[in-house]
Amino acid sequence: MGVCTHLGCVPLGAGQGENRGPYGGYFCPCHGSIYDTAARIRKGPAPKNLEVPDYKFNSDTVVQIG
Amino acid sequence: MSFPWAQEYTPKHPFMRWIDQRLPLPRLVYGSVGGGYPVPRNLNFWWNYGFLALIALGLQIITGIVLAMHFAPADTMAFDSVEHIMRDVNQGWLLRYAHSNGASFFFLVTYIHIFRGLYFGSYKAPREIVWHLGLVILLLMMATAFMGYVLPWGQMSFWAAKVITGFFSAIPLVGTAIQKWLLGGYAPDNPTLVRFFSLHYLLPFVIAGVVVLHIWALHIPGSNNPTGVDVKAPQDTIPFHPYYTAKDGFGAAVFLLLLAVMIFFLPNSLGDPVNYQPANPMSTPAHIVPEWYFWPFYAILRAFNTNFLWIPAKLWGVVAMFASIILLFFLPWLDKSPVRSGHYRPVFKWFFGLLIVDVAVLGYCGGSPPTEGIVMLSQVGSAYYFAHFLIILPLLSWFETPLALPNSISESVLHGEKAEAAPIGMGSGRPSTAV
Repeated sequence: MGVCTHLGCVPLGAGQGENRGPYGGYFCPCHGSIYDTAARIRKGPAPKNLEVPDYKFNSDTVVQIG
Repeated sequence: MSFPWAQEYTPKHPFMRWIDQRLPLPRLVYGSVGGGYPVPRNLNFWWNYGFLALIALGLQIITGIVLAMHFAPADTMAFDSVEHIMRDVNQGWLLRYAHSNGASFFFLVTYIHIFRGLYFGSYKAPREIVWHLGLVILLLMMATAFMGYVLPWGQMSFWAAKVITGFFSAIPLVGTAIQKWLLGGYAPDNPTLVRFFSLHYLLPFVIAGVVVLHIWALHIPGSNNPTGVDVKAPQDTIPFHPYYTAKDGFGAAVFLLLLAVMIFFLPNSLGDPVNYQPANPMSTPAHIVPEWYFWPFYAILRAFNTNFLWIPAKLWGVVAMFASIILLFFLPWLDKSPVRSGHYRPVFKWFFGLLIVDVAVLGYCGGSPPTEGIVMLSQVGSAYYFAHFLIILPLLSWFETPLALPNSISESVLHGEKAEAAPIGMGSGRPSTAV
């Protein structure tokens, strides 16, 4: 989910041309937390990986989130 | 209160005598800011800033009350109502610019006031409680300024609310529950805006109350002065009115003039243009920063980016940021040097200069995007900030040899006939009988 585990900003990297940080994943502009492409925290003040909600593949093309 | 030679209030008019026997308010005024309050005769312009802060508080309260008459504290209307104030309300732009720039000026004069206290040792005995009440005012001001910044419900407002309430989520176990309680939900929303509006209206009056205590506590020992030497005799003091009412009045004129320049010519120069975008919970602005007066604290918050001693970086940052102010409560006992004024402390003077540079560097870091270099600079700056108060000041009070203090305030200001000021063209060769 796009909520930084530090203080709750929305990390950049989901949209076109946004700063993805040195690991090519997500970069939080508030306090500089850097996540990799799997949303794991690599650097910066955030204490945890980005949260991944429960999901399941109902079929090859449909994902159910939550 | 004050010194035994203070002039007593003696109303001449029968009506004033009648009042005095029933409600001695004029007596209180006379004894605290009138001719009945003796003040050290050597106060320089650094002693203007307390009064300037009081003016700024008054200005914020007056403009704020009128702004509140036109503001709509609801998430769907707040942003538009601020634009309505700017475009439709008569002189609304003036009120709002005076209020937003007034906040900046309030912090500016308060910070100068604090650094004045730091340099001249105004926090030392017997003025510890004056210092503590001042710090309480600073904390209240910060809370008030933050909540006021949230009210226009722009992008910066929204994300400031999110990030700053997020500080509390760093507290172990109960953190997230506290944040939820503060916000009235999982994210900033209408309940957040309405409660912040309510508190933003309340807190300035709490500040005014603490200001009364601050001044009351100050008037027990009386003002410190540039020499830091205690008042000893009547010739060391002059009455507050007319001398310091005139000096403060002059300072106030300069202050208001500069504020007018900001309001009329550079009204948005201190604010972030991103806050003119309506709040969007789905997108954080690419570069979020607080207003300038929070930059040094913001830099300390961001300086901690690795877990250390089993404590997560997030908690370190938040604790360090609060500690940077809480620390100042202990200052009267950290700096044990018996000499108050920095004038007579040759080594302290240099470290005081370094502290100012350090806070400026932290401010610069806090206002810049969090790149690697900036974060490293913030770490050095934060380390030095804490070292100044926890290591350097306690050591200095042991090792430093202060300069000789003057015997009294009047001795320090009277240099003998030769060196005294004289009217233009007169020289200073008056008869040498005096002094």
